[in-house]
Amino acid sequence: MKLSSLRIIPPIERYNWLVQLAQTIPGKLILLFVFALELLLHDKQWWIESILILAVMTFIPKKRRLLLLLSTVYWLFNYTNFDWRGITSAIEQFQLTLPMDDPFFQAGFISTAILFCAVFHFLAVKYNHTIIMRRPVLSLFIVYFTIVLSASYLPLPPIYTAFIWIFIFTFGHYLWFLAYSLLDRKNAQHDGFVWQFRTYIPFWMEQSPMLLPIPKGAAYLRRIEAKTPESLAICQLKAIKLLLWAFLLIIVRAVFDKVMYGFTIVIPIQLPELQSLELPTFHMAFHGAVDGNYYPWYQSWFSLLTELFNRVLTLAITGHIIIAYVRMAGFNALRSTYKPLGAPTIAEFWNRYFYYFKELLVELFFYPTFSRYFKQHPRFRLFFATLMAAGFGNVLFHFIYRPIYIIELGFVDAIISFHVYMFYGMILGTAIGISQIRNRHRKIPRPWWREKIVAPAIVILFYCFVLIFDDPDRTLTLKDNFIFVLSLFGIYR
Amino acid sequence: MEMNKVHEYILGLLKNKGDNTPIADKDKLISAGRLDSVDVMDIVVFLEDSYGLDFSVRGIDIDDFDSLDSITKMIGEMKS
Repeated sequence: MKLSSLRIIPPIERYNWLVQLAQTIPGKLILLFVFALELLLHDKQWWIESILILAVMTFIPKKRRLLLLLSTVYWLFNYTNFDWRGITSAIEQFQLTLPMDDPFFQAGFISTAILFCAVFHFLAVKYNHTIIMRRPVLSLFIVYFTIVLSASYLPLPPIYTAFIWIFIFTFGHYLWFLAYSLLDRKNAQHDGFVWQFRTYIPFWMEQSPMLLPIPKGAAYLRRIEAKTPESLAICQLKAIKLLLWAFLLIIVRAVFDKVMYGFTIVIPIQLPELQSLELPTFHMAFHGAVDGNYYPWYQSWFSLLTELFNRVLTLAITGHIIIAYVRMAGFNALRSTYKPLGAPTIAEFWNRYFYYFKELLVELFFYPTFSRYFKQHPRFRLFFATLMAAGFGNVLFHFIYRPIYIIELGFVDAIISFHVYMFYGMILGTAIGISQIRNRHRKIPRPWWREKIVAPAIVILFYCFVLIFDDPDRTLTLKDNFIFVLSLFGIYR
Repeated sequence: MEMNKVHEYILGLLKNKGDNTPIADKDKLISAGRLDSVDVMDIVVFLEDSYGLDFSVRGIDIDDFDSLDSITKMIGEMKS
């Protein structure tokens, strides 16, 4: 038996008898029971509602579309987590007394945002061939930033300005979902807005603060939907496996954090007593260097490595849980994170690290650029389109992600405060672009030790380096980041 | 004929990824995870070079590349 074929969790979706069993009523009940147990293991607060939805979807798969729509609406008004506290504190500057905690007030703004999406989608479909709607995603961004600039600079009474900001905040949650719907409009089997809406923060995203559509939009769900009882059974067995795998990764992360940093993370099982190395986290090492309290250079390097490992683990856990729900609902979605630390190239790491973010950037930024510009210059065409996606698109996504900074700092200062992330986007986009070009011209297979050890090590080092510029603290400047970079080589202020 | 050319090209792409499983016309390529969005870019370049197709108006829709059938249908639509 090959070492690479060893599995911690057996490939249960390949066992014929199990696939057959999972298509029977007792088998379906067993699968739902096991999935419910796993949700309890993950300490999921809304496991009962989730299991009820999944049970109905399992037994009436033909009504899956309708059930998903109903569950999205139910979740929206009961559990979906909009950061109302953040926006409340941001609009305090207008010195207004607004009922921000009132569910009806919140529901009013959410409904307005959804209505706006519906109208925009309707216009994009109806006026498909007009200049404005020929490129509806571009038009969407223009409209979004026109509203942002209006709220920033128009001399309106404070109450109107505050209302526009609250609208921008709620609409921002749906922006990328709407973008996927707009891409779908040309498809012969495209869904109308009501069916598109089922994919707008569905129940599987739970309380996730991410505004990223996972797994993409309605078009993708149509493609990956289980069409036969057998494919549904396989899909659900994969869901059970993935949710268990996510739980094992939670244990790995808890052990890792304890051993490396001495942190105790509460998980549903009791870990044995573990000795800690008491190493600094990246946050401690980085902010320590900025404040002049340096850690030894080798500890700073270590903090980068552990930070990258921790980020990969956290992203994998979050993505696996979401995809497990998606698969249990009968959609055979690909994993969001798949062995990024073994990636032999910078571009491949990006592909494996956060698949659905990369896909969003590819579909909204890469393809439109690639299909239009620099066709006579193949290498530059590829590089430029990659830079637009991994650099520009990435930065734009994160800028829109937190409109609160624009409210608090003003539009121009918010951009200035974002300059470190822009630098990060530029390095990342350039490196991925170069990596793509190099991959295209790599014909000769490399020796295994280069492919499996040296290349991934270089890729990991690169991503350790760029994460220095991916710190969420917007009060820092590039100078602060380079103070830390120099400290990695023993050069101190 | 056109189908054969595209078929061969996609088989080559899959082979480069270590996937030697044959493909039927209706087999899912992208939603099954056999090809990804970067491979789509390769197919676009291949179609531009081989058939003189121009994607700047139609745009690149990943759905069009999900099977040999859908690629052939797309080529037909773009050439007509």
